[in-house]
Amino acid sequence: MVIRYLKYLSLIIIFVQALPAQAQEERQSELKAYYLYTFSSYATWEDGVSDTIFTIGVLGETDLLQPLQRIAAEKTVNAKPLVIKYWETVDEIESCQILFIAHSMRKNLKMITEKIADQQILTVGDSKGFARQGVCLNFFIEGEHLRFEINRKAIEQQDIYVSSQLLKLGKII
Amino acid sequence: MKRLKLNKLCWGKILCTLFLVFCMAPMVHGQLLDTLLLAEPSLEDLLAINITTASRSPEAHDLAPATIYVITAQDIQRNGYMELGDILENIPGITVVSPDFFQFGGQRGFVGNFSQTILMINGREVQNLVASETFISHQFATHNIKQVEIINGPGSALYGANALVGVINIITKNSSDDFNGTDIQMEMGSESTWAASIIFGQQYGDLKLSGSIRLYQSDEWDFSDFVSDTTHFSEGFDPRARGVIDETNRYVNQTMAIPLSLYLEYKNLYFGHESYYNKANKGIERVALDFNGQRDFRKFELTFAGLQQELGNHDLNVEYQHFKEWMWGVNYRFKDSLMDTLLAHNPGRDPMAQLTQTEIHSYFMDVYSQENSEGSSRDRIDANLTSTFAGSYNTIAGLSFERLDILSIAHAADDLYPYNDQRRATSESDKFALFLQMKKSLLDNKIHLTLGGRYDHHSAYGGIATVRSGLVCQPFEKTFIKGLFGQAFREPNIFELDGNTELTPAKINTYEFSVNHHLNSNIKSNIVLYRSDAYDLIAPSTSFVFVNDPDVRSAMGLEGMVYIKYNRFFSDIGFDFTQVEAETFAGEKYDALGIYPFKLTTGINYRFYNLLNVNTRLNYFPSIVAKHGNSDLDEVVDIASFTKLDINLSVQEYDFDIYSVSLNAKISNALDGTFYHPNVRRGGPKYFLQPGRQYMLKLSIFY
Repeated sequence: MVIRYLKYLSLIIIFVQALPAQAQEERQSELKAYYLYTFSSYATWEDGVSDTIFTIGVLGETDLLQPLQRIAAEKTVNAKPLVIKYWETVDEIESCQILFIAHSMRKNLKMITEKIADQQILTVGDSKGFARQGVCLNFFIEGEHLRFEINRKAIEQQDIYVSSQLLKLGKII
Repeated sequence: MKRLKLNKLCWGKILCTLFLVFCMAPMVHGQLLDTLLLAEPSLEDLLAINITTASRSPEAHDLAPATIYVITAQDIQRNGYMELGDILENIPGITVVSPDFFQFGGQRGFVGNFSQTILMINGREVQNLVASETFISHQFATHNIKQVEIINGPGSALYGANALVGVINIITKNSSDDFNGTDIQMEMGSESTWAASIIFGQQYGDLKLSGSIRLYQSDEWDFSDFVSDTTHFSEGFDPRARGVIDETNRYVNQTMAIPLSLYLEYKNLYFGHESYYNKANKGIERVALDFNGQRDFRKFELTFAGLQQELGNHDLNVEYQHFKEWMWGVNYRFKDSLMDTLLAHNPGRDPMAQLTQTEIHSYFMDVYSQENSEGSSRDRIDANLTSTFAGSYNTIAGLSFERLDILSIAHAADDLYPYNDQRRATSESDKFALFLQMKKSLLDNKIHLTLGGRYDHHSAYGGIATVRSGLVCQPFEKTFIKGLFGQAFREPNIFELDGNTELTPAKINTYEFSVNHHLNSNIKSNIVLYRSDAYDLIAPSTSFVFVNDPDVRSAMGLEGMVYIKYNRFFSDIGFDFTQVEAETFAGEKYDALGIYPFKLTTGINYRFYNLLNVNTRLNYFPSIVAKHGNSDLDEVVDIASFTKLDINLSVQEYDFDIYSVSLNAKISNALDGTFYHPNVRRGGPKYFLQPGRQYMLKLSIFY
């Protein structure tokens, strides 16, 4: 019985090699979106933050929008409704607590950081070098893991308090 | 037996049917997000959940082709687990027996001295070399544990010998990429217990440097009354073999453990070291003449260096490991031959009179030592190649070569430091292994197939092949179904092989069927039905001669965990039912000697003001019948049921700007109940009394 079962499994494995590959990028986007939501628990916005909603802004073309909207449909942040806003250009940016900057906006980084200066916005990037260019948190891939790096100076400039847990878990640059 | 056979025949049909049904299931996107929304992992969890044990590659818990229980640092903090043994006793399917020296026990109805379970740190084996035992004393504390991955089931197809019934893999904090900072921990408790630990990790550009050290010391529970008890402890022993506990000969069990870990990484090269020193007075493991004088020391070192290289779609890992081990100590046990010598030297002495302290130390001291020698060693080279094809087809191929050189132990009756570098005829052995595992995900990640095999060749007992296979399906959004088959073996150790070339490894075939189901975002459960058939188990025929048991030993059972979360309330409920084949002992037939047919473990946690966790942990063990621990008596003993209650108060990582503080206050056996563990290894006391109420405080500062 065991041999027959193993033969069956071998045949299945050979057969399924031809089937389409899984959507690895989709999985990554979902994980990043969940990270963005989770970051809200590890930061404190001292003042000037809306008392009624918590906003995550998405700037530029990205696959994160859909998973973020799913998260917003199910979750709240400190009992406040979670709202996802999408902006195509820097000029459109409005008030938010977390701003995700897509890779497509890499040429506008300076403009973005100038526009949101002193607005208590936790910026999160998704491209190599973003943290060094003034983005508070930036995702990167290490081996099989999604990690994030931290620009402490940028966080301090935004006047946001982040927990030591966040500092402990990220890579400080 | 008929029922067992019917189940065996059903496995193939069940798996094939499941495959066909679930191939037809509609594809659903967003499975990872669904899981995350249900599980609500913390940031640390997002980084930490890294299942490396089940298939040697990272994968989600629900999808791992194994029955795996993951205990995270958060679980450890919440429950106030201080040592690895605390964790293991709360895992379904695991039996922990404590003689207050090192843990006996096992998994899924195969219990002994844990020699059928492989213990690893970061995927590297740390069994003791001399007997291939999973030696768990006080050296594996939780201070540096990021998570523990425990597999119930065979693991030889990936990890080779000794993963017969399970794998325990400790993932350390300092070895993890995401540990940056310094963690200082201090512990104090009853029985003059104290410990101090430091863990650090720092990144300097491409260089990562991390390490950990801990110093633990304790007087341990005072069993003076128990070891004087001739009914519950030393029943059946010669009255002269019982140590007399009085002012001059006290019961002492002073223990000390110093585990050390170092890790250095530069680009794709790494170097590391894991070692420990462990000292104990052996607790209540044996009936001794002098509990104060008897002692045991262990020193273990593992040094490794490796290369991790990405080659397109392939990851190559080549690693060299060098193990060293020393053990030494003193026994004071009664032997007729030594008594005869005493009487010969002292004509006219009443042969039945109680032994004096002078006589005990002059005639019954038995020193075993490798202290002043080179020690035993093992050198191993592992090479693994992990490949990804077309995004969803993964393979892991590897080879391993090792040379083991066991040093024999010097014995002396009058010298505490005997020297001996002699080696047994069978002290040197070579092993070579090849393995390959393939894993394919299909139908948009709804089906995961794993097929693997390994061939090991040993210079003493020859070649052995093992396979593992798994089919994991996600038929519904929140349901994961697994059908698993695996083989494993335990190799005979140096003592068992000595002069016995006919001995072959013990083997096991295990079939598992499990369902992991997320009922909603607040309730998650996993239930596993298994059956194991063990062949050629190694058993003593006389004191020093071991043989393969000709009978097939089968065990089957049901085990599972349920997690319930509601606002600030969290609970985990673990249970197992174990059925082993009836055994004839002392002319009677018994269903399960020394095996708990049922076990329940439950933790109830409530978080106050988002700061203080109050955790109560209940362990219920039913009454059992076990073999009498005194191997000279063909008798069984009844052990009453017991319920153990632990209470833990904890504050988890309270932030003070640049540093955070965690605090634990734990009461073990809070009801101060009296209960016993069966002596599953025999050759000692009737059974083992367990400590009463104990207190422990722990402070951790991270910056």
